[in-house]
Amino acid sequence: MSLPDLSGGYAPLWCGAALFAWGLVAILGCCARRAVSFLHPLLTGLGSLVLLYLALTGGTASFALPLPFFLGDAGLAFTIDPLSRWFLGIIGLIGCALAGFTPGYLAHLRTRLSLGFVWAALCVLLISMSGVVLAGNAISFLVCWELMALSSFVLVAADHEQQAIRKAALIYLGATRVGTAFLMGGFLVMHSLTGSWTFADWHVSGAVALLPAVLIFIGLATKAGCWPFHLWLPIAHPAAPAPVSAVMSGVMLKTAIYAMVRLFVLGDHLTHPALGPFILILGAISALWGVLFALLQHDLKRLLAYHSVENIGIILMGIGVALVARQYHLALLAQVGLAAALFHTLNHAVFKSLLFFGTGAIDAQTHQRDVEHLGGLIHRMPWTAAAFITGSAAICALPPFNGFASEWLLYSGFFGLATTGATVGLRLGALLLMGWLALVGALALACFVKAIGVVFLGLPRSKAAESAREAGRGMVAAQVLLAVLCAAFGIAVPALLRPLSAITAPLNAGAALAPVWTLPIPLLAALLVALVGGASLLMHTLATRQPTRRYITWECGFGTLGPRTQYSATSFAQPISRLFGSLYRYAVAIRVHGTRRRHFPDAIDAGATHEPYLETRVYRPLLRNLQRVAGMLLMRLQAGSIHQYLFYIALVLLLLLWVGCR
Amino acid sequence: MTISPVDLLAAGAAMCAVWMCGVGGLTPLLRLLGVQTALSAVMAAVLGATFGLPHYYVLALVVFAVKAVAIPVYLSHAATQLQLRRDDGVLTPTALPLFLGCGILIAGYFLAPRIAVPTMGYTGAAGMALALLLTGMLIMVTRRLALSQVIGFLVLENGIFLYSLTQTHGMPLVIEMGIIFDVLIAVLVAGVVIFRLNRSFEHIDVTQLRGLRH
Repeated sequence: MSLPDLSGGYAPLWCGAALFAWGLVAILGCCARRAVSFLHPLLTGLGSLVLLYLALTGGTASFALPLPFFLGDAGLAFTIDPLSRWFLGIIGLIGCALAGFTPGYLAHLRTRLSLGFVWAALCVLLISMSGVVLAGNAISFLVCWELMALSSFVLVAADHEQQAIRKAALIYLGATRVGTAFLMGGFLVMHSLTGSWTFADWHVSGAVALLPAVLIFIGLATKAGCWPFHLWLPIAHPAAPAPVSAVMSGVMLKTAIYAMVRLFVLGDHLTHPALGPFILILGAISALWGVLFALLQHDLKRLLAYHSVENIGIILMGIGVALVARQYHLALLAQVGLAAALFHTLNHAVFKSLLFFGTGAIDAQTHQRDVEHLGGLIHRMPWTAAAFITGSAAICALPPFNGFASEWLLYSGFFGLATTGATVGLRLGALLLMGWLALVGALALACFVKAIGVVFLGLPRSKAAESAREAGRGMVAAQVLLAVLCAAFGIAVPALLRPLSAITAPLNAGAALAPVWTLPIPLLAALLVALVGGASLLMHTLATRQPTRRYITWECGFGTLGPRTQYSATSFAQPISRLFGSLYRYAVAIRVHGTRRRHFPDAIDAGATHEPYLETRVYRPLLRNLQRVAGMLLMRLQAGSIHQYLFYIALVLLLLLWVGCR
Repeated sequence: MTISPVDLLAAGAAMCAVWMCGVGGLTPLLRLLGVQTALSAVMAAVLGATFGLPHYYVLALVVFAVKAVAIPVYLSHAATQLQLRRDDGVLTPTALPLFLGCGILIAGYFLAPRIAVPTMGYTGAAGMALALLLTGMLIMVTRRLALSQVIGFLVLENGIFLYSLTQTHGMPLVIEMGIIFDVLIAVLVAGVVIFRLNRSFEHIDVTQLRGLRH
């Protein structure tokens, strides 16, 4: 980097500057809840730029706040190292795009939401996420983690006048509560094992590490949306405004990945031999589960939420590869696995935010997120369409975009395990997972072909889609920025491998990653562009040289061709869904109305149903029973009698006395 | 265990508290509260003389004026205004709290060595302070009227005051004054709340407040 190095003393100052800018928006938003001005996006963008600058240039530093900001045993302490800088960079990047996109998007909601308040919560979310990735001890981490959960809850519930949204927000709140409870439990066990809250002092391995590792993993997996804790993702994302979904899916889920990398992979803080295979298998299940359910969705945001489950699964597979390889002393593979996970974290942040922005732009213009009511938008919203298609290509891991680059790294990790693995089981497992990942990629491709085909191509399926206009300048600019980044990160891989080497070096005795990357991506990209360009030019010239005749399409004598004669999303996904039908009891029901008119019925309906087993068979009965037991217990405990309450206080007093005197 | 005048005064205060458990009339209840607080005020003065700390005299004076005189007078004024005379408690065997109080006193006596600060030398007083605290809790749990709950709270507060006075070198005067002021305000607020309760429901019987939950 040509930018001046700001290592050491200045890093806290830059953090303070970002905090100041975002904090100002938060205060501004809380003071004037409804009014928004150019100041809100400007300050948000400035704070993000400062953080991005810090991420690109800052060295390593650690700092603690002075005495009044002290929490129990440990102070508010923060450290900046290459790993936290990587995540700070992601926050800064998405923050910048957010500042461009949000004003235009929120404009169409201004009668329903308190816009100033949304900006305030958004900035608190950005502050707390930066706090999470900077936290140097468990207490600071938990404080920021909770602030993050609460501010994102406020954002999910922004449009709280609709009951569905209130319910979604409540489910999200419940999920984060449970996750934090597990996380706290894990941190408490770690504290009792090591006697310290500081992450740097935590070194636990062997059998005792199992309990805290499992507790912490469940806590983090609930936030990350890993199977089987992904329940809240497809519920909360459709409820939240699009920029909020973009931040939550793009960045907030990644804070859990950050914590996993920090605690499980780097620095030997918490090691257990079972952890690697466990994470690898859960990641693999998440990836397939997410993409299979995404195929069935009609709501664009729900579809993207399930794709977050898929991508978190892919990232977890990278972490799993790193852990397994480290266990078998395959240092280079461990480094490659971790690099793949971290690279995919960045890439997912970029293309998932881009896709959510695209969905938001469509939603803002058509007030419609159901793909069955859209169509033909490529002519009406060309910029959004181009950006969305770029993002889709990236998420499907098509070269030369960034998703391909990180998944390629992951494939090479699997390939390495398959060739150099110590045991037959390991080699076989790696081969299997390679095929699994390919299957996931293919299904993702099918899913996005469906989404793009139904949303952007063909004829509009509703009045709203027919009268859609291109989104505002800010919205388009943010999307184009992210789309360009998708391509840039895919082509300029060696430049990104440099910071990744700095992060992952401890796993491989300080070696650099660059030699691992042998694929000449720029050359391939140029070849691809030349090929596609040449082919289209050829076809164009061939087409214009021949005399052309324009005529209506023959419709087999059924009547006029209209929007309803097009492929629908359900029909496109049906063959694949049927293939995996036993996983979610997929069924297509065709109902004929007016059967007495044998060959000329009044109407024919066709619809597909599916049953998410995890929700209907596990979570719902569990929650119902929990509610019943809690209801009975609470009725007894909270009887409304003051004497009873006083008696509880007396009991606690006696208990404390007994504990003290023992 | 050597018996010092401080221990004796603490025992007297605890005896008063146990006695309060068995008293139904509000006027004797408030008088006993006054006596008990006055005993702790005297104790502060004795401690001041023993350690040669002049600010303890000021403390004793303020405790006497505020907690032993002003608060009981204010509460008895409230009782007269609300035309209340007796509070026989929620337990049907009315002597039961008295027995429980005796049990607490005995427990306090035996637990004293474990909770006392050995270097201070007032082991007995520590046990009595604990007994006061628990008795205050007991009064709060077993009484019917909101006014008696305030009295129970004051007994509890006396227990804490006694413990801090005998087991540490006392807190700085400013903090002690602050605490006394807090107690005064708490009692005033509780008085206001009781008056309002009476106006809203025409009684201040907390056993009948269960319906508020619905």
